[in-house]
Amino acid sequence: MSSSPPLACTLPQLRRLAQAASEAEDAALAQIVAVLDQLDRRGEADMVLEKVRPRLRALGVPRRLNLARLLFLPMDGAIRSPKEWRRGEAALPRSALPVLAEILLLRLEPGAAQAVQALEGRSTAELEAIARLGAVLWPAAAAALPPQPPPEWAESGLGPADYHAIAALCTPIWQAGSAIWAAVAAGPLGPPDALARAALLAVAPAGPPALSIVLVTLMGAAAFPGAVAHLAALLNPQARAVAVQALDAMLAAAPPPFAQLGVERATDAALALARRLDNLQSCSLLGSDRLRRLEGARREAEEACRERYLVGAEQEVVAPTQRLLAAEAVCDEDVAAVEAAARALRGLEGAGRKLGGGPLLDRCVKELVGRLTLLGRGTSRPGGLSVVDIVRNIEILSGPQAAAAALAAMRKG
Amino acid sequence: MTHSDAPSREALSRLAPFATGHAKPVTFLERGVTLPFTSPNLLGGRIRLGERGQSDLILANPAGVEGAYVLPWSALPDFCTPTLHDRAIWERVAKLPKVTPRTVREVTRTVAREGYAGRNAARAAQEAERAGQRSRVMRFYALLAALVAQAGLAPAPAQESAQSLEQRAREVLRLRGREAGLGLDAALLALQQLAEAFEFYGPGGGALLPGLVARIEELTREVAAWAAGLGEAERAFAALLRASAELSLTAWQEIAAPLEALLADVWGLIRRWQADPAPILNQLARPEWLLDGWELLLALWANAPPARRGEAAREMAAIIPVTPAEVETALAEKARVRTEAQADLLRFWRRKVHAHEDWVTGQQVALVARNEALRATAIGYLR
Repeated sequence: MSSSPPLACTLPQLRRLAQAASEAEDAALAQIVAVLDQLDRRGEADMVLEKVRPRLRALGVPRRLNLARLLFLPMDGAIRSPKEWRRGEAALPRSALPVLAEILLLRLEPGAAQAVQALEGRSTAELEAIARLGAVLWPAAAAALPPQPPPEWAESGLGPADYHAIAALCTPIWQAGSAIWAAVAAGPLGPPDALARAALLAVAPAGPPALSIVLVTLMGAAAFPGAVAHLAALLNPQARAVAVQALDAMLAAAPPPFAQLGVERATDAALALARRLDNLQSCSLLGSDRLRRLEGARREAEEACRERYLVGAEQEVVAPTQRLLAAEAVCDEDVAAVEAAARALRGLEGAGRKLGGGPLLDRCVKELVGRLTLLGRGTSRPGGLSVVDIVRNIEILSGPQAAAAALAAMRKG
Repeated sequence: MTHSDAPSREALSRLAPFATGHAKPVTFLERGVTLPFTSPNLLGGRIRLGERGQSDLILANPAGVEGAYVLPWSALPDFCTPTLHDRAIWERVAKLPKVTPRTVREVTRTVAREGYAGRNAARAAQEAERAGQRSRVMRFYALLAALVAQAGLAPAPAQESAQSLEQRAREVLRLRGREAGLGLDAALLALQQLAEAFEFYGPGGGALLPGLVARIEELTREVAAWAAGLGEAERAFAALLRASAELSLTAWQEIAAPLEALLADVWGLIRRWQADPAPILNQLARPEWLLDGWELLLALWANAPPARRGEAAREMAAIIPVTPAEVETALAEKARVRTEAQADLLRFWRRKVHAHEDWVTGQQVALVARNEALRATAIGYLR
């Protein structure tokens, strides 16, 4: 693996880049991340990514696969920024990861070193390659990790005691890496009970902190996190406490950053979240207090999703409609673009309903239809946006009955 | 397309009372005319004249099982919420004095031209209208040329102008008309009306129905090539499509021959038209009835990305035009065997493949958009 120098930027430049990344559209952000991922050592450039991590997670942007990333995929849900990390917590500070990877790179046995070469050019989207190369590298890392902190550890900014604590977490997880990854990779399918149980059983003997890291990672990747927590709770009484803590953390987590996602991605995120919340709701570990918190999380997510809908409606349907109405002539592509935006919003609205926002969304849609109907009154410029063009958007956003009523109102007006 | 987007299962339960055990129509009239609906629940729906002058709406069983649903035309909004486009079609087609492929096409194109199926379909409808006008002019001059040729006049110059052709044709019409007591203006009017009546068939190049026949043949070849490397279900679909296409194409040949005979004597055609246009119009309507519905299959296949052709095949199988029994009696024994083969394959396909499988897997709004794209493509096949 070639080692590139840290990104040479001044702090103000990095701040500007971080700002640009947070404001970039989904595709542009993916490009910025791809550029940064080309650097083996990002150094201060990590601050560019720090602000956009929740969004990157929601977007599911594939990341460049290198040794550090592969090694810590089975612990992905418990990686914290150095500022957030607390000693004694079942979590890993992000600053330790590249240093540990460097330490291991020098000490891996030759077979594992070949597997490191094979990471070149791959991404986190390649689940099978991760399973295959991880099967070599995770146990090799567990075997190669020195018992005492080597000199390179100083680069992490952490003390020798931290090294021992972190090594104690990583070693059993790497030993169980393949079982954990099998369950994580199958997360969108549940994961199936057998895979989740195998992963949890493989790490449970190492004690609650390691189990906690794996459980949080698994639940973060799972379509049905409540079912995973339930399986963990059945392992032993200590594991039950870990499962309840993991549920608490999940209930306290912020909703996906809907405001920063494109409408289609926001729809995917809302649908996935709704499914996860529904699953958590049926988890027997949640008492009335936690169920109330769950409802709070649902409400918070629904509000954020609805806000995204309103912003999307304004920016992508109402404003372009006004612009097209003012134009002397419009081309079919412009009209089709507004229709496509309306279809995407309709999907987001459906997802918002799954989060429980029915009546409030009804009101939003009604207001939107009212605005478009007003815009459509008196529209009759040949070659311009037609009444039917506007009515079609209403039909997409609210259905044929609303469109028929709007058409009648526009023609009357 | 409302907030309570009707899922197909719900639609199916509402349709249940209208189910018929089998869907083998006796006549083309009984089979009905395909309507270019864009509502997913109505895709491939047909209209036919029912009992006591009321129209029926016929829907194929979307689950792919044998049988169809026959609903009173007025029941459509009770069964689903049609798109604005479909509601406009529903209202306007109901007012037609006569339901034929041609009258239905005129009405549905008007709806598309007004933009209810989107701008692409509107453009396609406008272009079809312009192409129709050009086609009628071409047919008129092709009839003039045939008339002149059949009169045995001196051969035309290599690049004869329209004016010269018209002059020579007028001469023929004057001579023939004098013998038959038919004025020139009346004969020319008859020729113009015939050009309109023969718009889709011929004479002259670029006629729409022969073009559609060629596309159907191409479709069967493409589907066969696609299915060749795939499983039993796909090969069964290809066989079903081929059997259905062969049946329609055999019937096409039977129907086309007398039309060609008519065109072989243009003066005789004018006289017949003068005497009574109805038999000629009926004869010309038959190929339109025969090929009705195929443009939707063609569009479904053409618009399906390669990875989704299996899904397209499932939709096509549900709406493949069933050849009515009247074709069997009109055709030779060979075709009758094919009819039986088509029925067997249809039963096989429906029994073997995807019966009761949920038909709508995508979002309703996305499906409407897809169906609107089909509409634009299908209009393009008949222009």
